[in-house]
Amino acid sequence: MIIGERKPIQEVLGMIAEHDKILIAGCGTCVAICMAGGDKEVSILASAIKLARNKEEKSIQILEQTPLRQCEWEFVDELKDKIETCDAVLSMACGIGVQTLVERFPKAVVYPAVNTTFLGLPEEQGVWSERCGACGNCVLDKTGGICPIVRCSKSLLNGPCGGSQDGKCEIDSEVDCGWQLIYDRLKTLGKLDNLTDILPAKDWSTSRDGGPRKMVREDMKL
Amino acid sequence: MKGDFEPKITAFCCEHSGLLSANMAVESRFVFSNDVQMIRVPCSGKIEAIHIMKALEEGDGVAVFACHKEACQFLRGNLRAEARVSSIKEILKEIGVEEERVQMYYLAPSNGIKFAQLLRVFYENLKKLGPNVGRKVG
Repeated sequence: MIIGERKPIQEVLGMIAEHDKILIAGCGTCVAICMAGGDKEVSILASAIKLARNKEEKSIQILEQTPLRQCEWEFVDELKDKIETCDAVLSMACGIGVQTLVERFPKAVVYPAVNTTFLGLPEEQGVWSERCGACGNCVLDKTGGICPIVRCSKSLLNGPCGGSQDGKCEIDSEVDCGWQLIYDRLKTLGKLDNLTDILPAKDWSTSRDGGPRKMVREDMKL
Repeated sequence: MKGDFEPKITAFCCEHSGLLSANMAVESRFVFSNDVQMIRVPCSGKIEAIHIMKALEEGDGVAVFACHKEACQFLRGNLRAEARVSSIKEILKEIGVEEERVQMYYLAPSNGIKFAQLLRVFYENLKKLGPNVGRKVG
């Protein structure tokens, strides 16, 4: 899922400084699960903004709503009435949600209240870590299901660098060496021979190097 | 001005410790300010960050009375409450509201005197701080 983190409140306050009535729009999917932008976080941010604005003797009216998803037209349409009555929208969704609102409601002023950080999973309650770089050309079949693009700090494709020490990465002793993880996994699977297959230089045009990505499925069009 | 100021306090009380001590304090005829709103919770871990924030919108300070750290009936409820109180303090620091307006206290179920003392100290500290400037106007 998409992992996010609420922006510093002062940064958010700066964005909405000129507005007196705003909608804080949460998202009930990824950012709700990572506790950055679900309905609870929307309420907490609303409360913090009210306290901060009261302190400045500049009160603010805040509406709150959290659609199940903020990244699909059908779900954001339920925000229409509230958006029309507000000066601005503070989106607590990922960057996709913010842009969905911008495209669906072109006249609305929309600000991001969350930094979209990475694609990952909750390792345990309160701990999230990156698992996918969305590179557009998956090699997990060759690396035992462990992604060298994001688990290796250098995104190396054919084994570790010289900075791998005792299974840890040179960038931080708390960070596992991605290639140690891959080696251990392949050893467990009895597939260490996979490592003799040299992966060619990666074609990054399917990733960010190829510009904005778009997928069209004619078979799925209505 | 601060001398006349009566802080409005919300006290969240775990029913296994804070509430029992509060009852004992009342029975022992310790006097509370009329502006203390007691809220009974089944465990301090039941208190969400938004409960504390909402109480701050309406009042001057929030106290959480929980079981001693090793004595939570639900094992980790008081530790969860502590983490939430810490997160609220961080938010208050960010927006420039005194973090001392939110305090967490640990006590045994039969300690009415300590409850009254802690509440009194909290009350006096809030009096020194003055009204919560973030509190809802009107």
